[in-house]
Amino acid sequence: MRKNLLFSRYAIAGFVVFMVFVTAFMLGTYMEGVRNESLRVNIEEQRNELNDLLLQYQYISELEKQQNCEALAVIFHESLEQLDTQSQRLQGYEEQRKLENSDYKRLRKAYTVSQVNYWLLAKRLKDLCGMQYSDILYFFSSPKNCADCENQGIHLDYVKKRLGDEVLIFALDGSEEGIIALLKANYEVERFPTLVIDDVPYNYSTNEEIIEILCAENDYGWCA
Amino acid sequence: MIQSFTFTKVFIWIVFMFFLYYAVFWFLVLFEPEPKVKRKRYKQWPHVTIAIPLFNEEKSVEPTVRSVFGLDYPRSKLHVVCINDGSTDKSLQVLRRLKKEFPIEIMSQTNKGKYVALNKALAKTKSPFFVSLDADSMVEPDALKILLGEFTKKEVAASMPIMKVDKPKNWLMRWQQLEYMTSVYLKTLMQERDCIPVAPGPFTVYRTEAVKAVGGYRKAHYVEDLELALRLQAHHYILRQSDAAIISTRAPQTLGQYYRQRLRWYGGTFRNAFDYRWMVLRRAYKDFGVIQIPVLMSAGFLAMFAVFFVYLAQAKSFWYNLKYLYLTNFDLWTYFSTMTFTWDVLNTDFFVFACTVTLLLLSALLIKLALNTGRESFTRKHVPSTVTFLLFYSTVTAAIWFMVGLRTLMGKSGWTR
Repeated sequence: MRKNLLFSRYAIAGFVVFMVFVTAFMLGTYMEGVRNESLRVNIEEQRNELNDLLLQYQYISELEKQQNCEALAVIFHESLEQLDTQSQRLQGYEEQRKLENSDYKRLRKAYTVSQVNYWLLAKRLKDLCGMQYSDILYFFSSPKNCADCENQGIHLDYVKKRLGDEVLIFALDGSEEGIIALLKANYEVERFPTLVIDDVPYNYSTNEEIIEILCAENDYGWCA
Repeated sequence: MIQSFTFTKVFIWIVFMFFLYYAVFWFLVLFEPEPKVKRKRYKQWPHVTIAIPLFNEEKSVEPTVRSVFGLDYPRSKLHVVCINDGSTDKSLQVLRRLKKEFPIEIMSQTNKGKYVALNKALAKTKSPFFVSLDADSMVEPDALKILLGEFTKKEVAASMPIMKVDKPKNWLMRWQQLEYMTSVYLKTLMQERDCIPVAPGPFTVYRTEAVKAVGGYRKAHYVEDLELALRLQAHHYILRQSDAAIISTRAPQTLGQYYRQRLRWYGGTFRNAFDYRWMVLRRAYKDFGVIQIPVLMSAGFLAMFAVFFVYLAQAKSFWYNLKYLYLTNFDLWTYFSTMTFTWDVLNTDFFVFACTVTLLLLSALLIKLALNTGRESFTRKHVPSTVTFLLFYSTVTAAIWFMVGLRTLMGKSGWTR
């Protein structure tokens, strides 16, 4: 004779699974609350960071008068690292869709403004201190409006990894208004992607082409 | 709510709950008082027929036969039959040589399949117990006496040993070792509820009368041992496993061999379970009908889809990285040397995290208990194979289940032997 069905066993197994589900759901809800709160704090922090960056910019501008290039270079690169952290955090939240659209737009705008600020600063430092690096403005758009932008991003990322601090890349969302519209008009950007390498606009370019352009105008050690 | 629930997530949740329920159901057995079963004592050891079907086993049959004659059992009570199933190698010559040394009976047939070979031996036997033994397996001396001790009542139709991989040499064999041991451990839990679904080919001892009563072996999609176990269950016989009896078997050494074997096993499991679907939810079959047959029919495919969806979720990232390497002329040095890992706790997908951690913990617990049952302690040598087993084995089996599904949809009924 087979052993009888133990309904209690089925019920206990069901109860355990139910409890796991409820616990996971409650923890998930709790974590979502924590995440929302953290995002609010993050947004606030990022605003402060931006203000700090702007302040640093002003301070550096002051230092410029004092011709203190060494201090300028240190602060400049530290600030760029901060900007890079901001960018990665923003990208992460964007990919995980963990950000309300309005928050994302606000952060994106703030990020773009600081990108332009740093680009302007980079150009001034180059003239002032004779620092040797190239700057690239990268105008991109959403995948719907720019089929090649993902590939262009890969090429630029690779160039940055290969050349390090000798090339500064500033990615700008071409669909934004304000300063971006002004830059687009200035460089006659009509399609995406467009690269402005040391003030000269180019269409989609591979990493080999970008390096070739950089080497044609500059004498970097890695060009050989 | 910022985060959205997708079909993929809901599906993975359901599969996760399904396997969690199954695991909890069987782990609950651990909390039951262990039944005191007295082993059967024989005044005189009974006659036993050991049938060894073989097809092209010239290299492995000799150790198998030698291990049989190394059994701690009166030789006068043993009848060993080797059935050559139309081997095209030197198996028959090896058998003839062995016959000069050991009292074995040799039968031959044109290649008709293992089930025909076993039925041939079954038809001739007059022994009350009949043992099937694959010609690639070696039995430990005390195994037969231990297994015969499990036939405590008339309803017990089969008694099986625990199976280990013989001398695992590479990672694939070590994975199979872990798989065999976890499977054996689950069966020790299942037998408490009369739910063992398969009696393995190597050295399962059958009550001859019971096997003959249910009609002997069938082709059964080339997994005759599983089908016979299901049929015995269908006739309300009891199947037992003894973790004191050990048999070692040669496991596939290459991925190709492994793939062909598993295609046959998984395909056969699904098809046979489907053939016995009429047992589902029949009160007479108790737990076997309520939980075991439905799981046999569905678990493989559910796991396959879950693994597929998990990979699908990663596909975008994988595709991006592949494209990255392609566009950068596969400059692996730059790719790896500049790679950075950052983990933002708040950016973690809690759902995936919870599923992964729970399943990994359950699997680790299962492996630990299985090693105990197999009288093996977890040592440093187990670490690499266990970690890779936990991480990748589900993907390998999911890929094989995918092929099983594909072949089923294409109407391919024959499975590679």
